[in-house]
Amino acid sequence: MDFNDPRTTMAIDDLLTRRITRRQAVQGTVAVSLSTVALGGLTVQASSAADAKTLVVASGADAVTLDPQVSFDGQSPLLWRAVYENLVKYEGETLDIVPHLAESYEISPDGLTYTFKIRKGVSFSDGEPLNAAAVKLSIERQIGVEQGIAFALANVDAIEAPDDMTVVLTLTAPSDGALSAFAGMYAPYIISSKAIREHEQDGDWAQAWLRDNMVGTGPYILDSYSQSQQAAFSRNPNYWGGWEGEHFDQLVVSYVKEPATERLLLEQGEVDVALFLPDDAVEELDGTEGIVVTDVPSFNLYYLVLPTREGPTADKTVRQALSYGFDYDTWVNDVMRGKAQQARGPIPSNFVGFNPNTPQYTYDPDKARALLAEAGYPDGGFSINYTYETGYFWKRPLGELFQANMADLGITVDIQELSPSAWADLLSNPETANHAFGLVWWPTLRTPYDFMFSLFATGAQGTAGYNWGYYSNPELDSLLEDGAAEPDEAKRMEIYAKAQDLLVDEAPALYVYEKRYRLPMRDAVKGFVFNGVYIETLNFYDISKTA
Amino acid sequence: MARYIARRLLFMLVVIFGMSIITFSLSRLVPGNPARLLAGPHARQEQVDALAERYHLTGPVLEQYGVYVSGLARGDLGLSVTTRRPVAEDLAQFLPATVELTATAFLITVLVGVPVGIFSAATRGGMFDHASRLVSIAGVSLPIFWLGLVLQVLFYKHLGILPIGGRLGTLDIAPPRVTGAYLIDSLLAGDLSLFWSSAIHLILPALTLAAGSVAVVTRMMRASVLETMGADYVRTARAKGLTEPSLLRRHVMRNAFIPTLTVLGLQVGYLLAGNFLVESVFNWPGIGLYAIDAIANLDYAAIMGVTLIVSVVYVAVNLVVDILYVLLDPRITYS
Amino acid sequence: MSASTSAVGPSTTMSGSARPAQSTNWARQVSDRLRANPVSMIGLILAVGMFGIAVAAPVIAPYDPVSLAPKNRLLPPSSTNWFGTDDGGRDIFTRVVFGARYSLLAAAVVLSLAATFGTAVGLIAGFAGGKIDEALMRLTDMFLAFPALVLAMGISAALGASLTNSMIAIAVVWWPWYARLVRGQTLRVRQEQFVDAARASGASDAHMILRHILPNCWTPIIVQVTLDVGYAILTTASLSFIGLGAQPPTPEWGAMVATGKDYILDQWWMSTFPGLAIFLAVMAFNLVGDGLQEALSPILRRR
Repeated sequence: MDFNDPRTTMAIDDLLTRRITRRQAVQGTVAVSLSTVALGGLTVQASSAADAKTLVVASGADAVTLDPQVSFDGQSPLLWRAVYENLVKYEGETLDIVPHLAESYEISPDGLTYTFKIRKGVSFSDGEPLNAAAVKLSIERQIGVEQGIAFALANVDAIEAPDDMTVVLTLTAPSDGALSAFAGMYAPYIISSKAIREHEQDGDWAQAWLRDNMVGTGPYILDSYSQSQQAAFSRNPNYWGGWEGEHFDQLVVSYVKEPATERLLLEQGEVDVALFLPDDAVEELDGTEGIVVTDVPSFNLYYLVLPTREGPTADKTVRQALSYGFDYDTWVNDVMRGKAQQARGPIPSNFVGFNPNTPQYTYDPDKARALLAEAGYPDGGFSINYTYETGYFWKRPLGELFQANMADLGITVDIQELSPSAWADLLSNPETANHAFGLVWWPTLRTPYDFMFSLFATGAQGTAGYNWGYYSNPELDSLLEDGAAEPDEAKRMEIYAKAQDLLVDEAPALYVYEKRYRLPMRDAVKGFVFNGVYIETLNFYDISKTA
Repeated sequence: MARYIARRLLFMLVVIFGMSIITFSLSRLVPGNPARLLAGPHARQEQVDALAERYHLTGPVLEQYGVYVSGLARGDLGLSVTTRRPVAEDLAQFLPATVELTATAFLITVLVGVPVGIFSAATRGGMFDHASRLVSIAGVSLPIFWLGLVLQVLFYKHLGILPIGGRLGTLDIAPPRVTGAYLIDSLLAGDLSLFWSSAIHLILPALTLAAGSVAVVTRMMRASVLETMGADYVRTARAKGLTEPSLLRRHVMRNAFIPTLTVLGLQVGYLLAGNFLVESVFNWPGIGLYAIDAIANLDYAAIMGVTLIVSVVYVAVNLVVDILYVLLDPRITYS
Repeated sequence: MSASTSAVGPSTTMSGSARPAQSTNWARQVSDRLRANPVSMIGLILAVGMFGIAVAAPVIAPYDPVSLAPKNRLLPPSSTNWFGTDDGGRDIFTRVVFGARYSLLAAAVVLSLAATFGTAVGLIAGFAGGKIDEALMRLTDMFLAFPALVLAMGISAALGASLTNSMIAIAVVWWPWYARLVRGQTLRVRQEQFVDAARASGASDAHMILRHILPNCWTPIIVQVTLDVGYAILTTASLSFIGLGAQPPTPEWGAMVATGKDYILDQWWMSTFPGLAIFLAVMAFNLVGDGLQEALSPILRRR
């Protein structure tokens, strides 16, 4: 995968209007309305959430689009994954990639050719059969819409279907994590070719229609959808996985704006699972009768990104001083109530490519003051802007703690709350972007490159990515490129390890914390398996409820 | 009379026109490029430009305004950044909920405020009067949003007898849409349990919303009844031997009601404004909630749309009030 | 907002009959009646108390209202924290006490701006008459056509969320009421004989306005302002509640209720106490205003 290709840059750019705004919605966002029912009527026959065959999910964040190939937001995938599937997937809670819609796959030794054998006997919910032509069309569509994961397919040179059930991809260059582009939460989900062809309008690849409609191979079919209110699904009777064993007949996903309301709905048993609740609400639910809160490691990393283009924070020494000046322990133990741990560098500790020997800053105000003095600011005496979006439950406390800690060093932090779109607009424009801000990242691809490039590479600045601290370091850029191109795994990891060390030393961001994933649900719900890549989604097909 | 109405309607149009200028100017005051906000932070410049073209977000401001106004005439209020649907569609979806809530609150206001006001006046100086005065002042002093939260915690969390919010229960199915008001539609569909569910969900939000305006109407009614009762013609009637109740009924009521009518008209404005807060607390999917989110997202098309609709309703209601005035009091004529 | 209207109908503020100068006798009458009203006196005491609290805030409050103490997050009311702590560990009693400053300040700014600008417009309109009057009145009608909070929200959103901007927004929305009020007074006074006499003796327009008309407007303006203090506090808090006013961690009451909303189920104290403070403050001023109206009404009734 060639990340220097201008097509890549251009495609990363459309990380979409919503990636930044909703992505951090791991802890919730802002939007409309409560979980009342779709105006068009619904086929949910269940009379109460106690019905063991219906799963009722409350989500504190509104889905953005039903089209699985055009967005990087953090809320829509929950719905996508009820209906759509991919060629490969991550197994259980691991990062192992296993076949799914492909019944097997093969990568040539030179890493340039990927051969997928398509599973037989699978069809889409509109009757269209799953075959090589369908897969080819979906992949072409993903590349053609130039959104979502398209950037990761930038060096796909050719897609061929040598026979009815085989698809062969040829790349221009080998690329770390290329396969994972087909496995992740953002991937070229396989959409019915019939649907794409029939609803195509003015060369839009049927985007207008697929925004509100879904036709996939997955276990459930969309019955009805009302934006900002509710989505309802029912069983796909022809699902290739079969329906033996315990499975839900129906799924209802309701958008609930108020955390207090969502919490109560879960406590009263009116919903079975509550997604996107703020941390404090989740902690309150822990230990409540009838409710169980999962507690598993995630791949989320939470950063406090510093502006590096101008002002005192353009100086590496100052940034290091700030890194020593932040009270990580108070954050982890008091604000996060011990459910988090301090991050070590830019990569989550349980992710592939993590360098356990990367240095880690500690809270040492004296050292911070010494460094500030060294940089020419013995008593601080300057100010930093910090901005966060409305509705992001962890960003405000982060800003406040930062403000308090910096005040001890004589540095003023001005906090400003903005609407999500204004926030994104402010930061993606280099003229106005001189702000510190909080950011959470989870993996799109199975490679540490993903974290480091998207947040710190020169090619990811401004509208091209999420490097809104505008950090630019040619040494880092070349390390990342070398890593991506290195075919030998051990050597590759070595290069990435160096990149992590560099990033810690340079401190373009404070690597604040990692968090365990805590999802509250009724204890009757069984079979939930969390995978950090598929965060804030549910493995609908595998879960069930005891009556 | 007809001429008066015609003049007022014309005036209404002028006002709406003026309001559209105000809201339009406000929307262009917002810092940032609306096309960029719509397109998102990762849009390429061509995408931003295309959006700007399509939604008339570039070009001379007057031209943009012209397009906006002509769009208004056609019922096109622009595109919402939040929902990415036409604002007119969003408003059509969310308005009935607000109307239902406001109408219910208004009904409560009239049914409670008027009798209590009359009774206070009739028992002037007594315990009831003092009590109602205190309660009224308390009523207008209460922050609506706080009252809503308190009632929620009390009635849902602790007592468990009323729902926490929303228009229906989580798994209730909305009745087939005729008016959009669930109370009416469920009756039309013959679904009594749904009627009951929507009524139950309506109680807390309507009460919260009505609290302040009940207070105002009570005071107003009391004051105007007292004033009317002290009027010459009433004194004359009393001297002639008319008893209190029939006095109240025949002479006082009608005339006392007139000033109250004005206040009622104004209360609709107050209720419409209060909607924003109540819908936010109770997750009532009306235009108030829609607007609050639009504000959070700086979705100006949506904000303008809501402001315009609310103001139109307000102006229309006051026009109706003025017309009723004439019907009620033959002494009043409008030149 | 107290009910005044463009159509025929009573203004709940009774305008005084015009005299060349208000007699102190009249003022004494009013204050006597006010004092005789026990409920209003309670309101007055509360209001004065609130001023006192606002002024003495740093002395009364046991903690710092803004600095974080994460170790003490979300503690219930106790002897060390009378009103409990919020999600940043800050003492809520302290924040409520300091919040009085913001509310009173906001009310003062809003009303000064609205009353000043509104009075100016009203004077000009009433005095100049004719086309100018028409034009200005149409302008005020346009503003009055919006429910106040709705327009304030729109303006606030356009200006950007901050306490200052929300104060400006509310002032922009409220000045028309004052303009109408003062215009009505001005029209009344204009017709009095002493005004013609003054003009005949060669007084300039400015002299007329400042020396004769304006003094007669004070009373209704002051009454209206008193009535409006409570609403000013309430509206400021409402805008902050929506997120358009004071920004965290400013200890403004409305903003505090908003933050506490997410914690209402288990940490009820976060929203309850600031909300109670708003309620009591607004109630205090409304009691005073109500008493004032009652005190003024028999005197000013013309019949």
